[in-house]
Amino acid sequence: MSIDLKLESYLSSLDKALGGIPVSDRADIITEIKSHVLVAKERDPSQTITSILSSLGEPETVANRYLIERGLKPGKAPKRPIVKWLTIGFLGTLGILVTGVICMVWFFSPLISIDEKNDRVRILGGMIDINGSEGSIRIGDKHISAMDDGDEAGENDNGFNSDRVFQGSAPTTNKKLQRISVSFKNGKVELEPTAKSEFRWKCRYKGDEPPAALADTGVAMDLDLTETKGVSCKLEMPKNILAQLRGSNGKIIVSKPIGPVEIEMNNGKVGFESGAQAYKYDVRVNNGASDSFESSTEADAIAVKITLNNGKIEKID
Amino acid sequence: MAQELDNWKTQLRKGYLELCILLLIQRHKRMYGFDLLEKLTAAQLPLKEGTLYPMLNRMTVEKTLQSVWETENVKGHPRKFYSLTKEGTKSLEEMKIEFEKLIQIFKSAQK
Repeated sequence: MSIDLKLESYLSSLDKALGGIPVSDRADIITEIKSHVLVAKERDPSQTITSILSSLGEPETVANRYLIERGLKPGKAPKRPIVKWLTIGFLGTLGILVTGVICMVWFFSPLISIDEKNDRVRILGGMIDINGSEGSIRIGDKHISAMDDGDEAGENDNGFNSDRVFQGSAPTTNKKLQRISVSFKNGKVELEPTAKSEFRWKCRYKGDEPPAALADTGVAMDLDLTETKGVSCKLEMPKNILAQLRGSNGKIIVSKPIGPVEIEMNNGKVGFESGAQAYKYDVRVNNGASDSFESSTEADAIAVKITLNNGKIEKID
Repeated sequence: MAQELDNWKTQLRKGYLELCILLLIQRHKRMYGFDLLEKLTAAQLPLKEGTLYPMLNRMTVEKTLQSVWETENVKGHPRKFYSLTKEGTKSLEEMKIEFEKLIQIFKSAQK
């Protein structure tokens, strides 16, 4: 802004703020202030117009002094420059944040979409794509896991190395044993019943590091696969022991359980096939859909608790 | 305590500021704003220009001062000269008497 423009802008603001004073008097005041600025500059040319105006004070403040001296009601006090800039800064930051949130919502919309026909669940605008028909999970641009149904080595063409199999069994004859927990990050877990008194697992996985061994505390058995890349497991669960399955992304299929089941999943699909037993369901989906499950009123009904954050819970017939 | 003292000084200053402005104008016959500011600063009574001009404006409205714009006899930009009106001169004389009284009271209170 040039010197003249700065001065004219200041005088214009002053004139506006002097609203309650007659026009002729206002013109006189404006001329006197302009004269003061020019005389000050003439006396000391090293001074800038900005510094002279700054010394005068904000135009609204000066106008208020005129109004007060004349016994008139002063106008609204001007905001101090620091307050003004802080306000601008705050509103600017808020605007950027709001724009960012709008962009994020737009980018990640829809939050979840379920394609029944193609057996796909897309979460966060397709950021996480679970393809049931292909048996794969894609997060971003990366296939970080595969969900192959085949048991035989070499059947999988999604990057599994058939040599990387982790399997084992553990007797469940200990009467103190209450639960068996399996947790994983990305992948697929299938749970089936067994009439034997043992817990069996067979997992295939990606990466070089084998999963940690089964931890048995007597009361509980824990199979921690959270550090293992892309797992595909088949579990056999004996009767009357609580099966806890926890996964971040992927698919869990439970077939005809003969003991209580607790499933917690963040993103993906949960399939449940009921057996001859009676079940008491507690099924919750935060974002997504769920088939209808009817609970039995029988006292010995097996408790089935499924909690899914994003995705679908479906009934398998 | 320092803030209370500052407030007291401000109040006292307000009282004799107008008197000093009128005294300066009387002494120099006529003065313009910038000139007054310089003289007040030299007299250890520095005043913000944003305060002086509204005061001069009020004293003109009250007919204590009268003003005239001059462009021909001054160098550079036009200047607004202030001088005392008859009423202003009379008011100043009364103010001087009152101020003398105050000084007397102050002195006698010190004894």
